[in-house]
Amino acid sequence: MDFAHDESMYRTALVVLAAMCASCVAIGLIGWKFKQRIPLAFNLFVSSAVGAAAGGFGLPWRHLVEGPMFYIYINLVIFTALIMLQVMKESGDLEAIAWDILTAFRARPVLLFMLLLLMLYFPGMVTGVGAAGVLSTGVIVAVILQAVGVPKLETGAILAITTTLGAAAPPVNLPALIIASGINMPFDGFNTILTVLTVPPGIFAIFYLGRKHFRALSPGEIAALLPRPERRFLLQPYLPILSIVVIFGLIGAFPRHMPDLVSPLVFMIGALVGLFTGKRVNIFLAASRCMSGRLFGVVAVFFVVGAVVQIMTLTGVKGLLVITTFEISGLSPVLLYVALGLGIPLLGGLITHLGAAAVLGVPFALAILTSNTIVVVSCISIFCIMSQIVPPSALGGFSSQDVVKLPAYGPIFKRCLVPFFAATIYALVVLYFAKQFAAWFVPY
Amino acid sequence: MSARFHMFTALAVSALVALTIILGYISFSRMWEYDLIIPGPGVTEVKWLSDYFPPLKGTLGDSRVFFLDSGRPGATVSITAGIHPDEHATMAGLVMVERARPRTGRLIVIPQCNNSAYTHSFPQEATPQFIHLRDAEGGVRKIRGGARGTNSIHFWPDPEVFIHYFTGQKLSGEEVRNINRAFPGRPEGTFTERVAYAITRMVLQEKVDLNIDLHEAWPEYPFINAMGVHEKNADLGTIAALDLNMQGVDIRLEMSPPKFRGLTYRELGDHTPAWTVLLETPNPTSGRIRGITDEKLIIEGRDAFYVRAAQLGRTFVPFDERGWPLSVRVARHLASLQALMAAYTELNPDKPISVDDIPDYEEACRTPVGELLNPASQAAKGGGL
Repeated sequence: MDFAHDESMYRTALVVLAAMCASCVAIGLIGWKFKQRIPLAFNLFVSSAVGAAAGGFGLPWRHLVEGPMFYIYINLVIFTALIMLQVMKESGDLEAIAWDILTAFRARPVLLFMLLLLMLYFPGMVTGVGAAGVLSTGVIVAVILQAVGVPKLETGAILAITTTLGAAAPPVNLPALIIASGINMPFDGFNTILTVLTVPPGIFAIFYLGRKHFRALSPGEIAALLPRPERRFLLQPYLPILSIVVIFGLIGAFPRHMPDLVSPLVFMIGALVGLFTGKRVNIFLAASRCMSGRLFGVVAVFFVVGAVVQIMTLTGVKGLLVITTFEISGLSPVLLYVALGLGIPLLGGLITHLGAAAVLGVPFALAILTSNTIVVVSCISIFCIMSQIVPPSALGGFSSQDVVKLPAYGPIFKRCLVPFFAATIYALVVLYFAKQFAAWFVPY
Repeated sequence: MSARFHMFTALAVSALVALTIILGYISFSRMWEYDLIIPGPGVTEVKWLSDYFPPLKGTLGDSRVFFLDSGRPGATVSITAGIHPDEHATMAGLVMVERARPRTGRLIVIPQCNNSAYTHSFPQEATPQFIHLRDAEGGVRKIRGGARGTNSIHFWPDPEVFIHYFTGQKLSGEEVRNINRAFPGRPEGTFTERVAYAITRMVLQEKVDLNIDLHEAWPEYPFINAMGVHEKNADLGTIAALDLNMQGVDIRLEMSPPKFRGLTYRELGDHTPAWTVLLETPNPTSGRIRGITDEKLIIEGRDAFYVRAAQLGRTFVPFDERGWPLSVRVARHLASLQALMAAYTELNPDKPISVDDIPDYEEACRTPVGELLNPASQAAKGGGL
């Protein structure tokens, strides 16, 4: 079909968008009618195809297949991180670490929460994906939080929001990298400002959600909750994590001498180390077990989001969303900030934080380049990253729901709202005073 | 659900995956074939990048290098086009190969520098795999659409953070496949760094005096309709930009940022004696605001969303209903090449470089790009490569 690129493009893009939305709702209703839980990934994939067909693009199978290829690597990172954690879980390492932390900090909530925050941040800091944190160290932290009295709901919310913020913390912030790349600027000078943007909201979140529930445990209660770990030396259960910290550290410190083994291989090395740190583990069965359940759905959504974005790009829906956002934000400076703080996370809820960075992050960064670029890109990356808890994709959120084993994500999301808005408003303030923050926290 | 049902589902999904792989192979392997190039009367020799770095031989990283030697003394000018294949106006390099006739000096053109990037399309960009251009005889010249970076089948996976080997500069991981972040390249480096290394070797071995790198940028990007120059040849840029502006070709002059590493005009300027320039024209197909993504957008360059974005002050170039057709963008590059060669000759009268048979700016704007290339029918007569 020969498409005009004049004003009629608005109509074409709207038809595609409307058809996609209608198809999504219809498939959901069909599932509800027949009491079947139709996977979100399946729904989005079919709806993308329906939208394209309705717009006159036929069945663009090449685009439906090509788009998801973008997410192969991220899915591999998530898979391998999970395999490592499953090995640690089955070998007893995770219980041992939880036992150590509970024993050492059972009556010191501030130290305990700060340590847990660091644990929740770390996987996201090195992979750039919040779900990696939820599904790895988040499993240990969930046990500890619930042991000290934090209810499942708040535990799920803490996991979701803090791992999300952790994915924005340096050194690896994928949305910032994508935006920086999109405007041809090096990813240098970001570490301090990203720390300033991510650490205070994380501290606020974990204390706001968890502090009031904290109760000190007695050694007897800990013993009843977790078996006393058997080990040959103190650091034995920590070896898998230490090995990946050392490898990531060496890669970062000596990039010219140490080959970049990339995250999936590093996590597999961690998994192999985990085979020798506790109980006997069959790595193939462990890998098989970690693939089942929620993870498969998370990975499927990631893949399908690639197809959704590609169809949106092909049909002009992506451009329509960008230009609409510009129209709204052009009405007043206040609306610009609203579009940044709400528009980006909402879009990211549909197409993930990486998609939001590529679609809206880059144009917004270019639109407000008059301020300090590093601060601007850092703040926009925060708005993108927050979409990891926003449905329907909510990759970090759904993973947290899975870890705390609650039937629905809605209540967890509600608990996340206060820390979500706190982090967003904080980033907006930093953006507004970008020059002042740059003077303090940006090297140039 | 019964085991039989699960078995049926598994078989159906496996069959679907197998079918997708087969169809995908058929679709994408067509892009592995080199584009037809029909050398014009000025071409005196054809080499390959592997002649400068033999390990590239037999790989899809190898690419053709065309020599257009006047036989008269003068400067050696190289044109690197297709560093980013999805910046389609770099087809100006192809036009030079098929039409140009040097009067003095020597021209070296690599029309598809990163051939690997021509062999795929980038996920989520939805760009066409091929562009079909009508030639002067009514035939069709088919050119691969390509992507910004090297094909993932030649380098995968990307690191989370790409670190430029020589300077430690950090960039987004996917930039590891961007050849214009890989210069000067390394013989033992990544696939992309090795292709960059071959180009650097070519510039050194052929004693290139001036390298001109052709690019395009999205309309919302500030460095657009611009000429970037290395600081050592700032005068060259000044003279050429003045000349172009006097011709009515609005162009801005910018210095190569010393801290932004890996680009041709920074690294070739630093690591070789050559003067270096980088040219940018506007390409709505690579922008984030674009509407429907198809061949028509590439060739006609019209887009209602960009018209509105320009009205809202969101673009760095004027964008009205006429858009930025491919013919205008190619014309800008051709005019810039001519202006740069004239400026070089002015600054180095002992090393003149001049080229005939390139249409002037007005004529190139009016002529569809396919008609600037040799007719496809010449390939049937044995004229193509």
